[in-house]
Order: sequence, then C-alpha cells, then structure tokens
Amino acid sequence: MGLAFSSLLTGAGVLCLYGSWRNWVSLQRWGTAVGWALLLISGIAWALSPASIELGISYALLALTAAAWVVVGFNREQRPLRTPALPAVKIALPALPTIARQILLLVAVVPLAGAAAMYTSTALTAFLPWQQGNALALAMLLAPVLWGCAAYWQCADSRPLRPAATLLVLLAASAGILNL
Amino acid sequence: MKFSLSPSLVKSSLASHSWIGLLVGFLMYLICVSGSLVVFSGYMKRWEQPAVAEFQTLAPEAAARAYSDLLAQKPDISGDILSMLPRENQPRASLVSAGGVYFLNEDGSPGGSISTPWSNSMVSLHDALHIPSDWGLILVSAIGAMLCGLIISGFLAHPRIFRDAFNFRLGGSRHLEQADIHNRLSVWGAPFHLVIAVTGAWFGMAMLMYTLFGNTFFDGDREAAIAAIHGSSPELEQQVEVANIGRAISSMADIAPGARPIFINVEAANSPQQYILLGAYHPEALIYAEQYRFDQAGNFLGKVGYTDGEPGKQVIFSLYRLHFGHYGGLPVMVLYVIFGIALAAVSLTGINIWLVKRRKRDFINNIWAGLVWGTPLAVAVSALAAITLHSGAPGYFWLPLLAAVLFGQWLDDEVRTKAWLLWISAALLVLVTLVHVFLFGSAGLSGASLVINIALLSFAILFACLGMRTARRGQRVYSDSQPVRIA
Repeated sequence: MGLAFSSLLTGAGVLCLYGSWRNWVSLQRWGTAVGWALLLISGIAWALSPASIELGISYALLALTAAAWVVVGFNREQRPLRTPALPAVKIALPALPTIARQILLLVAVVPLAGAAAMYTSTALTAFLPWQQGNALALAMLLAPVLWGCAAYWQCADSRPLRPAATLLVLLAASAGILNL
Repeated sequence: MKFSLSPSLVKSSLASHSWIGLLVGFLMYLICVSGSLVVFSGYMKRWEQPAVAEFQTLAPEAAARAYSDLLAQKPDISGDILSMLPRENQPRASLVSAGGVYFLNEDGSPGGSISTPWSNSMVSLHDALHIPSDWGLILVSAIGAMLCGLIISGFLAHPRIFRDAFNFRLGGSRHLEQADIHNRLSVWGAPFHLVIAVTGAWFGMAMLMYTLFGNTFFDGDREAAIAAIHGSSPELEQQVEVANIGRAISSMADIAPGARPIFINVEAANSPQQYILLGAYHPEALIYAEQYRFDQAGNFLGKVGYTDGEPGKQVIFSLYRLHFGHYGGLPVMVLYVIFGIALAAVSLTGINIWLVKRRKRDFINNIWAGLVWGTPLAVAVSALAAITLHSGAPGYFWLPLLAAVLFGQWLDDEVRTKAWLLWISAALLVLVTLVHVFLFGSAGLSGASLVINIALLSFAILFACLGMRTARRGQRVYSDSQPVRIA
C-alpha cells in the first residue's frame, strides 16, 4: 500500500511537471511548483513506506528516473530520417605540441586531480568534530566528487595552468596539514 | 522556469564535457554493459553450473559437518575458512579455504567444484577491465570520478535543461536525435548516475585512501585505518579446538531473529586467535551484511555494528548493495539493468554526437562502430567459451572485440557494420542458448538457467530487430545519396 501510494505520488509529480512543460491549461500556472512539491512529498513517502529510510530514498530516486523516462518515451516524436552523407577523409595526426598539451592535460586531470582530491578531502574531514571513522568515511565519499570537479575545472579553464597550479597548491597544503 | 547560464560558462563546460567524455567514453561503455550483466551475477553463476544442488537453508549441523570434514582431511589448514550459505538469488552453499573451493550438498558433504569462468570474467571486466593487479580497480575508480565530472559539466553545458526536459525527437537530424537521447537519459538519470559514480569509485579509491589514512593517522598502519571504519578483530587467546560453527548459526535465531545468515567464516583458523564471523543479511537495511562474532566455542562476542553503529560504518558497508542493486529483490535488479544499459547508451550517444559534429568520416567512425556493436558479440563469445571450454580467459572477450573492429574497418561503413554485428550477436546468443540446453538438458530449462536463457533469447530477438531496422535506415540513407570520398 505504502509503495503503491509513493509510486502514485512520484508519477503525479512527474506528470505535473510534464503538463506544465506542455502548457496544459490547468497546469500552466502552478504545474511546476506542484510537480516539485509532489516529488518532494513522494520522497518523504518513499522514505517512510518501506522498511528503512535508506531503502526508501533509494526507491524514490529509482522511481523518479523511471517515471520521467516513461513520460519522455510517451512524448517521443518520430521524424523522417535526414542523414546527409559525410565526406570521407584520411585522418590527419595532430601536431606534436597539440599531443604534448593533451598529455599534460591528462596528467593534470587524472593523477594530479586525483591525488589533490584524496588529500584535500582527507584534510577537510580531519577538522570535523566527528568520530574518526565517520570522518574517514566521508573523506572516501567526497574524494571522487572533488576529483570530478577538479577534472571539470581543469578541462574547462581557458588557462589550464591556473587549475593545475591550484591543484598543486591544494595537494601540497593538504599533505602539509596532514603530516604536520 | 527561468534558468540561465552564461554563454562562456556553457561553452567551456561543453568543452570540458567533451574532453572528459572522449577520454573515458568507451571504457565507461564497457563498464556499464558488464555492470548491467553483473547485477545478475548470482543468476549467471547458477546458469554456468545448473546441476548443482540448490536448497534454501543449510542446517547448522550440515555446516558444522562440512567444517569438521575439512579439518579431518587437512588438520593443519590455516587462514580463513569461509562457508557461503544459501542466500537470495544463490540458493546453494559452498566452502572456500586453502584446502579447496567446492559446493556443499544439503547434508554438508562436499559437492562438485566451483567453476564460473563467464561470471568471473564479466565481474573482472566490470571491476578492473581485465587489468591484473590493483591497477584495473584504480582505473575503473578513476572513471567513476570522471563520471562525477561529466555529470557536473553536463548540467553546466546544458542551458536548455528545463526547456528540453521532455523533448525526445527521434529521426530527423542525427545530431539532434543523438543529443536528445543523450540528454534525456542523462538528465533524468542523473541521481542514479551520481550514486553509481561515487559508489563505483569507492571500490578502487578505498585501497589508496586506506593507505593514506594509515600513513597519516595511524603511524603507517593501514590495517588500523581499515579497523577505524570496519571495526577491529576481537583479541582472543584460546586453547585451539574445532570451531563450533553449528552453535553459532543456531544461536542467530535468538540474537537476530529477522536476519538471514549468508556466510560464516572461521578467521585465523586453527590458531589461538581464531574466531567465528557470521554475516547476516538484514532485509530492512542497505548494508551488505551485519557481522556477528563468536569465539571458537560458539559463544556470542558481539556484532560489528553495521546495522546500528556509527553512520560512517553503515554507509561504507551499504555501498556494495547500492552499486549493484542487490536490495529490493528482482524489480530493483531489473531496473538496475535498464538504468545501466541507459548509462551505456549515454556513453555511446555522447561519442556519436562528437562524431557527427566533425562533419566528416574516417577510420575513427569504423573503429567506434566495431567497438560498440562488437561488445555484445564479444560477451556472447565469452559465454560460449565458458560453457564449452570452461575458460574465462580475457582473450575470449578481447579477441572477438578486435575482430569486430577489423570487420568494421574492412566494411568501411558504420551502418552496415552495426547491422552485421547485431545480427552476428543475435545468432551467437541463440547458439549459446542452444549449446547450454544441449549440454545441461532439463537443468538448463529450469530455475535461474531458464531466466538467463530467456534473457539471452530476448536479447537475440532485440538485436536481430535492431539490425533489421539499422539496415532499413541505411538503405534509405544510401538511396538519398552516396558517400562522398575525399582523399
């Protein structure tokens, strides 16, 4: 019963968002707000309905994605195929400086950003007034997110030395803090 | 809803998204395809050895007999002696020790040896891309972290995120079609993708971070760092006796009536420090198992506290089930497979968008078609090798994949390559099913084997239909115009 009610709320929330997006008259004004509110309530309902909160939150996230994909699939448009033939060319190898630049970017994105993320997350959580095991667990979960953020910044910045230098400083500072 | 991002932020985010996507796109595709399979690894193992005795519970006396029989045969055995008990999706028992690895019959007597090369190969492909040592695990973890970067850059590179929230235009311009598939799957799937990225990254990063924690906080003692999260071993000094695992299992009915014992391990067996560690599944929680500890006489010492201990301990021990969808039963597992294939499609369409934007074609198009559509073929060949040759050697996956790439280059036409590889995959999947039923007879047509065989045939039908659709679409394209070749 609880699961069915939660599923219904999730479906209703996504439908409201869809109706607002489609400019359905009844949902034009409040559809988006009601949709998000229903999704929020459904999240709470999911968390309360099964055996535990963590299972409920997991179900809520799965249900949201599944419901949204069903609506997206329902809204599909099939158009006549339009694929112009592409000219076939022989591949030209990039110039050496370009290759070197890409290799340096790879070094910054993978080992440098990875090391900086691991050290920084550990240093950040070391200051938390938490039980040590909890702080270390948070550091382990934070590290991949920080690594992803660092990789994003490294590739997005028009001046790649800026993030690389920042990551180096962060790595050195964190290592210093942790080993002092 | 108003939501605007500066054009320069969008442009740089798109550049970042493309760079990271090109770096990890294919490997992520492989990890997602194999991960979708691994969700059903329990079923796959049963499919590989369908004749093994299956039962819902192993009686405490039977578990004790299995253990004492092993000790009688190998009195000097040391290390850990692990009994895997019948559990959800795997209603069979086994014994793993330095003395051998084999199934147990319902009465605790030794059954046949364990041989699941295909499942192991797919798990190894997912965990480590078949790269030996810890490097593969670390690489896959790095790809998990890159997925975090892709999620962030993807949102920042998508200024029409709300305006396009439900747009799904198939056909028409290939760029628009691929972008719609990519964006709709990734935006609405983002919560799942983030969970998969963080939990997936943990498996390899944990190795590095425990070393970092050990060096930083525990005077170089990595084991102490692990113990800070996972709990430390009980310190015992006993006159060595045969561990009473039967008593430990029996007492679980009083200690945790709602929990289901799924494994029992005698740690440091045959030493004065030996103790019994019993893992029990708690259906109301996400943790893999709570660990209950007993001394060698089977006296309860206490539990580690994954169910009600420190939050960090609970979270870390929940990552496995959260990553592989092993909670909530079959519906959640099916959703994980669908979502995993969707993430593979996100990887695939991401590279497709980049290829279309180049406005030209070269051998990269051919290689890409061979890699993508050769993967199901390689999976099918690896399954066939496993059941006929009993081998899970990585070559049975990578050589067919290489052959598919060469085939794509030889055809020099990604549409025909895709169609042909899909048809070959479909034919191979039918062959795998037929060979399986031929080898195992009625055992191949019941229980988990039936589920996997039906799934294989369903995928064969899907691939055959997709192949026909691809060929039809290709014919329409070629009837419009012939490819232009520029030397």
